[in-house]
Amino acid sequence: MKYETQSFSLPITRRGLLLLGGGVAAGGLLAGCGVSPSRTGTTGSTNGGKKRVGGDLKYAGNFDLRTLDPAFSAAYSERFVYYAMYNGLVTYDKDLKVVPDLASEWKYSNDDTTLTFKLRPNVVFHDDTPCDAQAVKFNLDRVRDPATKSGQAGHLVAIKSVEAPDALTVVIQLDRPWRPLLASLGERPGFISSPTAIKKYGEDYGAHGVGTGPYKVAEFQQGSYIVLERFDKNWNARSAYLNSIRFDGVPEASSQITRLRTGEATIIDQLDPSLIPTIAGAQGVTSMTNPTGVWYFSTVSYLSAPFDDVNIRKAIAYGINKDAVIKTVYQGKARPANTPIGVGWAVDKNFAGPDYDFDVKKAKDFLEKAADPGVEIPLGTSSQSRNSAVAQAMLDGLKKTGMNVTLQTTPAADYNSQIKAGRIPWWISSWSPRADPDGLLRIVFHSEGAQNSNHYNNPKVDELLDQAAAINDHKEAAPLYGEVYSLLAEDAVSLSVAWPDNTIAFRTDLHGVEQYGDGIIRFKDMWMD
Amino acid sequence: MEVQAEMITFTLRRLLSTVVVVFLVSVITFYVTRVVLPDPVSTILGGQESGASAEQIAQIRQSLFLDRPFPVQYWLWITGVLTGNLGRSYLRPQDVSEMIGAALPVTFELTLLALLIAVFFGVALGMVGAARHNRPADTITSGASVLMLSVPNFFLGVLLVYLFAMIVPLFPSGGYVPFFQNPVQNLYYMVLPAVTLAMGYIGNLARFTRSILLRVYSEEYITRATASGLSRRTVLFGYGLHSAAGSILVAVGLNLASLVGGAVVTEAIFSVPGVGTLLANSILGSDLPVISALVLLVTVGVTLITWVVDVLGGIIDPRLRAVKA
Repeated sequence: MKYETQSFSLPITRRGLLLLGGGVAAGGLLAGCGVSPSRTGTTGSTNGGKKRVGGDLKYAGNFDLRTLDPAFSAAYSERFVYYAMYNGLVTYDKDLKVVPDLASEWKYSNDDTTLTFKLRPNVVFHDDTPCDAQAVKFNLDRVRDPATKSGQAGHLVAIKSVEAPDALTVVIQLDRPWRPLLASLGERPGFISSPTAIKKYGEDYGAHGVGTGPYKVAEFQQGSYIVLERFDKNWNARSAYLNSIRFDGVPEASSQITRLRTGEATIIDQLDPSLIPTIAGAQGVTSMTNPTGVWYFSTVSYLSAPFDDVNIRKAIAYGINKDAVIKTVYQGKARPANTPIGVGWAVDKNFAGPDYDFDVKKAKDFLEKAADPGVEIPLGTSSQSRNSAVAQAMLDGLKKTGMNVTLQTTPAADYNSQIKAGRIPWWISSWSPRADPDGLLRIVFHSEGAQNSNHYNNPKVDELLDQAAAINDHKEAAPLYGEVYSLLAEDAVSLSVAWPDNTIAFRTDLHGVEQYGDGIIRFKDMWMD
Repeated sequence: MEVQAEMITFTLRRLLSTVVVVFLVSVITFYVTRVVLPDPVSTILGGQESGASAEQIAQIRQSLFLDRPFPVQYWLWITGVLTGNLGRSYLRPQDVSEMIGAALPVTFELTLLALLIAVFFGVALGMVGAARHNRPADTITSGASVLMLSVPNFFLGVLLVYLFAMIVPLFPSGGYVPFFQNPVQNLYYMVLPAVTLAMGYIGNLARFTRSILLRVYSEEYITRATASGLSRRTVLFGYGLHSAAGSILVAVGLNLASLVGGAVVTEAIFSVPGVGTLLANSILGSDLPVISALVLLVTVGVTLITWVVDVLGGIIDPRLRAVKA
């Protein structure tokens, strides 16, 4: 049997969404690299001298690590730790291409419904349990089992069965061709835990966490910090240089910066553009800013008046001054967005549908065509500072169109539940990018999508999404996504605003810092002087 | 004998009102968290990112009793609490009691340190103000008190970090080391948070101590004591402070509630893993069992302290008994 290696360049990821209105929530900006290299501005050297073993890295972030069990993970920030301590069958490179991890190679059957993985030999978990095909089967079956009640089960729905014909072969039978599955196996649904540890700790497994990754848990203080230390029996020992990695939960952005400046932290990320000047010129500190595919947009519940009138929606679309938002809110550190997907292979560089660049005249034309041009139009925002700043900046442009817009602010903690309950008909939100476009587009725009809060229902969009997900070759699938973007723009339901950049700041003695397309820092790549 | 009976009645009446308050707060919190906060099931299943099916959501709602009527949910919860079972976190692989057991000593230590600092400096400043009434020392201490109680925690904390962690790097800017792991390091990390938390309290206590002492000093027996030739020191700090002690104690106790509130903000600034941090994280994650248990705990704590303080105040100063009863 001949296996192909690295032949699938599906940039897939399961990206977490930003808990936008969620206020404090961690979901900040995600990075997306390799979007447009010309913008990949780096203001710090990341390549120091020779890589050396040693050093204790300290990361300070708005971090709430709840569980070390990927099957029950609900927080974006947990993945920072998972990538250091776990492996999946596959993983992603920094451009979100799927590459080998525990599986050295894999292959689809001719009808694309059987996926066969060849595992690396001699891999052990942190507790010395061998990581073989049975261990992989155990993990995937555990997540799929309804009795487990894993929130990740939905990502493995296409799996019919998992088989382990020999110690190093895993065969996954699918009930239909389903491209997004491969990407899911490189993320939380596919991280492989020690079966021995899961059986031993039972429902307390999440307090321990035993993987095959280059770092293992040394100390875990719930709600405060976790310390990982190098696992010397790691199958890929070269990937671990640091002696230890400490993750400190520091909710305040200004406290994170203070820690970085005093050396109490080695690296911080998701810096607000307005805070970047506070580290400029600080001794021993450098920073790196890269474009991301985090999608900021405004969207309406198109079933309720006045938003059921497409002319009102189009008037709004032309009334949003994206450039003004980018200038005032992001201090220029963002790209104007025209579709939901800003990174990866499904970006439509030649997007033909309406871009909705700010145009007062066109907005006025559509407003005049509307059934009731003078109707009061409420724009909902949360009290979270980023969200309300975007709303304010949008409002200036919208008012110029003569539209009767009013701003309604909801406390950040209630924002998402109010949206879900249908009490905010026009709101501002954001989603983080995923390697496979299906991960985001399906849940937001499919009529049965779990996060389709505006009840968008376009049978043609549903059909295109299902059709595209069954195609493994992304060159073939990409045009179908282009059609989806055009339909979305034509319906003017979700109006793209911006893809903001992500800024990481770190001490100058830290090297190997790279921004991944999903914004999650991979500490295993780093070393210190 | 009559005094003792009066004291017992007073104590029991206070206890009864404490129980009523705790019960009402438990019902209100339980209800409010379940109505106002976002549906915990979507958070459990991965938040906004979740691709969970409707059946899966229904199944989890059922297993958490979220599909039952509110009184049933409350009954299941409160009977658990009364038998010592606070339930299990929705989000973390831990029992609620275990989480609170880890966070409570941290907040207790922080609050205790802040209280010691506040009582010492607050009473001292108040005494200086009262003893030097209407003189420059009084003006300075009174001004300082107002300043201290007006500066909000979140600003003061950041200011102290700027001054004593960045400009003059004496203390760490935040973080935590468990006491039993390294007591010296633990206290070192606690200095700035404790001072931040204590500051407003110092101002409050200083003002209260000063005014209550001034009232005492204007009473006849003080004039008589002075006239009888006792030293100024004995009169002011012996007689005066003794009769003011009961009221000061009550003020200390009553202010403790706001101290607990301040701990939430202070813990966030300095990343201290106490009850405040746990409460904030639980609210953000809609972790209902933890929120209900924490609010109940804080309520019981504050009302119990108030009760103890009332009773102690009554013992120290019989006049308080009459007024309160």
